[in-house]
Amino acid sequence: MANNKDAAKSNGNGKAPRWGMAIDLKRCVGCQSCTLACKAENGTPPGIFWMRVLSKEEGTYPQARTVFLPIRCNHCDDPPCVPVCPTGASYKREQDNLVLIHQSKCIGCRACIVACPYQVRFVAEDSKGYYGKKLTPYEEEHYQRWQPRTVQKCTFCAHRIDQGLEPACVQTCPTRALVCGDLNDPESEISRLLRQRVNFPPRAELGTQPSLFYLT
Amino acid sequence: MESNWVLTSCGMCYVGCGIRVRVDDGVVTGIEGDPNHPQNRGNMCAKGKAGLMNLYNPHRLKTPLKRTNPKKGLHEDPKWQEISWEEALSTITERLGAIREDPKKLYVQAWEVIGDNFYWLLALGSAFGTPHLMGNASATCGKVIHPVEFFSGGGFHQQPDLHYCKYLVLVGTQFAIAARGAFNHILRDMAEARARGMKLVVVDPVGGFAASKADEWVPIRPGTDSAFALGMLHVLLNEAGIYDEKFLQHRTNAAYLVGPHGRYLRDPVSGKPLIYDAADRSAKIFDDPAVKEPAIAGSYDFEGLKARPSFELLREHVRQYPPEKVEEITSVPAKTIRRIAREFGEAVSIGATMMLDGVELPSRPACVDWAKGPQGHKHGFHQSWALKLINIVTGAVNVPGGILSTAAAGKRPFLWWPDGGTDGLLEDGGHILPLPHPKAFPGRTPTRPIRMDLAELFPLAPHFHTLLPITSEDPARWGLDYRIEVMLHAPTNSLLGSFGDIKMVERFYQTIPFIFGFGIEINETNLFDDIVLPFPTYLERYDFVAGTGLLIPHCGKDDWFWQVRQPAVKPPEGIRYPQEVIMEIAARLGILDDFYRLLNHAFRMKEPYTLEAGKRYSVTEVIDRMARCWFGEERGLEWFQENGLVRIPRDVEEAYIGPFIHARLPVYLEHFLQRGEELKEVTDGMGLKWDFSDYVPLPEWLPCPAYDAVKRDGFDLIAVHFKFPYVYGSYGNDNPWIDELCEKTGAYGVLIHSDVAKAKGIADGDEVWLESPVEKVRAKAKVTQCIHPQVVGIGGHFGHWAPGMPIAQGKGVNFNALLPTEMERIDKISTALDHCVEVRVYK
Repeated sequence: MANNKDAAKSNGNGKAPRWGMAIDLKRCVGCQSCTLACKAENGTPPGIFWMRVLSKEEGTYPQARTVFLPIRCNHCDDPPCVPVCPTGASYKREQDNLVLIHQSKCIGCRACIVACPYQVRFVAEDSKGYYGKKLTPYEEEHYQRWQPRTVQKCTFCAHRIDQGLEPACVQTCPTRALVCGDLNDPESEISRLLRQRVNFPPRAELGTQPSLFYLT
Repeated sequence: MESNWVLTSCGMCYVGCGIRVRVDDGVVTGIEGDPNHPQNRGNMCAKGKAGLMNLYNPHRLKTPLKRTNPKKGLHEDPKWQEISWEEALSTITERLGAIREDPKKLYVQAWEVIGDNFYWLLALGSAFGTPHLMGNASATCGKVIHPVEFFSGGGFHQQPDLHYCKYLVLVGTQFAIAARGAFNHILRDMAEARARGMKLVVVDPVGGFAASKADEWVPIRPGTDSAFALGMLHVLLNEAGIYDEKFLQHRTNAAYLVGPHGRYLRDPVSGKPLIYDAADRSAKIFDDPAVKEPAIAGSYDFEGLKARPSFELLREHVRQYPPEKVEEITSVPAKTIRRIAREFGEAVSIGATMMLDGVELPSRPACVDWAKGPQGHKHGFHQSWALKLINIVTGAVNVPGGILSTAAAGKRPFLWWPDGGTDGLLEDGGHILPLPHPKAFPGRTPTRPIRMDLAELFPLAPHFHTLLPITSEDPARWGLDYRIEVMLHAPTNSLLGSFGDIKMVERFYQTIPFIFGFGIEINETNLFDDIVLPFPTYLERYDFVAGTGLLIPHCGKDDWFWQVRQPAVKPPEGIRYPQEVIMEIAARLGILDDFYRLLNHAFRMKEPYTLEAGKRYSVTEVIDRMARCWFGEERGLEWFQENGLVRIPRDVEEAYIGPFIHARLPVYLEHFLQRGEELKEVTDGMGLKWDFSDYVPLPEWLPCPAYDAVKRDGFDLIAVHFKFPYVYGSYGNDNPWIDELCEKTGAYGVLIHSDVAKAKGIADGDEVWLESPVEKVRAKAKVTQCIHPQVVGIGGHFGHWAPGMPIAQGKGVNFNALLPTEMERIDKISTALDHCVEVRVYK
């Protein structure tokens, strides 16, 4: 698991860190703590969830159960959303390979939304808050971070990573189903987990090289 | 910009996790779990993360209101008028003053265990002199688990020991996955236990969150849990011969000889129960130090009296429940019951020991846990007790890997410990604070009732409020010559959450001439208020008791804690601290000194910190005195404000009290017979017809009304309730983030099995009618394979209509409203209201 120290130090092999996430589907109980931790941290507007947990029923009675699947931006190593951006707003941050958006450069053309096969990029049509036009004091502060009609998405909590902190979803997960760390560091907990456990990245066949892996 | 982090306690449910609240220029901009807090270890759930939207809810109440429309009803507009605190308090004082001569006419609903309110409101009611004190939430809340723990665990609630458990059976509970005390702590422990290979079996009509993470989901018909348990006991005791003989001999009443009429054979001089010592073939008093081999089997003659050890009676009793018969009752296949019982019996490893911190302890890494599901039935006590017996006969109580009793014992900041009493059995559960619960064992002597909640007719129950809507229909029928005239309530929603049949609750509240209480938002209960007082959110409060960490903390060796809640931001103008409002009411009534005396007692206050007669205190002064009294002169309120909490390590004896308590656990409830006989005299004298089928020393399965009602009168399904991990009570129902989650996850729908839906022509998402004998509502069908085909599943605590909760309005179903409320649906032991109800569902 990444901690402040891991996040701050380089991986020692000369490569820039590549932040990744492992999601343990055995541990995830669908409690949605990550969903709301993300919302509280990033102040996303109504209807928009950078991080969410999908659920699906499998099997037939009495061998039926619900399976939970947390999804969010995969911070792909070969992100299809970046080359299609006409203004350079969508980019991969050199220092740690996070896929981010310059809010000031985004013109809201939505090319990236079409290009992303994972449906994890969003546009807020207006600046309405959860209680309507009049924002709460919390929303007034947090809604400064994005603009309406531009694209927004999971930043891997880059603002926290820069302070040596884990993303909000990872920090709060009560079952420790979410583990983040440097994929370029063979000694990181995430690299170790990926060696030890059967795992799959979402839709590997697309060749996007997601930095997110589901442990099964 | 001025930015700081405030250490305090979450209040989005009853748990009370440690949190750090970020405040920028007076605005709360973020909440994180406190990594130093042992209860949540830095983690927070969805409810807690949504908390700041409760704080900034624009529909919050910020000034006292009085109703101007004298007519009260579910959909009656109170026509609120804003009033001053002075007018509110003087009206309240006047109305309470008018019943001062007959204080039992006051009814106090104190449940609000987020903070101090709970103890403070109970103390106010006690100082006033009324016995009508309701310190619990729902019509099932704690009804069975607390008495069972008081006399067979030692603490307040139960918790499987996830640190060492290898085989866990959950019955009617989503423990450590979607619910229960110490939520964030136990969620991680459960994930670790499963990762370690613990087998999880979930027995539940609803295949919910817990069943989805289980190794095996066992769907069961509602209200048949005791049959399942008795079937398991039969396999363990009679087919496999698996039980903890030594434990039963020496640590339970298994060897107590039972003579004619089900009563113990007693020593004529001391009156103590006798046992048969196989070592020298003689009868001895159970606590005779010379006893070597107490017999738990066999049959013995004493001066012509035939007597048998109580365990022998239990073994014989459960022979009536072979798995084949249990299958007919429960719908669980006989081979499944047999296999689970045997797997359990193997996993529980009778005779095994382990070393912990240099202390040798029995190791019993298997247990059965239950909560709301089995409790909420007509025969709820025995539904649950049969399950508890599985843990007792295998010795898996209060030892590593077994079932643990929460907060049963502690040494810091002072000593509290459970102890034995009558007949050597566990009598006094250990509690850090004296609990407002009547004694569970040996119970109380029943008498003709003078209480409106008929507590006198329920000599073994912990709570009684479920009776109020029944008695208020016709008090004279119960020999009562008065009515509740004033009700005081905490800022919760009793109308929707604490009773059943909503029309009966409406009629009950209509009979009360003056209702006042607190409100954060105007909910359905507040719609019946004559005066409502604004209440701060948890982010604006001080509390010495911050959540239920004192009653239902995480168990085992992990550190315990004490946290004091402090405001992250000041409450809005016009909102007062509730403790100061309570003290002001007490002062105006002239009972402040009595109130102090009760608080001093409840909080174990010692000189020089006791609250002194004749003095007035602010809330911060009271909490400061309590903190210094408990934790030393250096650790007053300011210390807690800076440091958040005290971490309290637990020794092995505190964590695993089993081998260290000087008291036996029961396998045979002899006192049920005596209380039943005494009660019969009372009810006969009153000319009441009463059901005594539960006053038996060994548990039987008896059907709920709904069990038989299905297939009659057109009712073909049984509705049951279940929980979500992101919803607690109705605390977050008007929170737009939680509402959005509920919409996205389909939480507002009612679960109906796919095959049943198909036969009825119902498709997923269809609007349907859901009709019980007492209520008919519109609902959205959620068609699923994850439910017993004879069951409809209703989750959460929804179904609001109050204008003060505009986000929650019209969403989901209020399950409780569907429940017929009548004596025939009340458990005669525990007062639980039956929470399964026959329904029909149609388009």
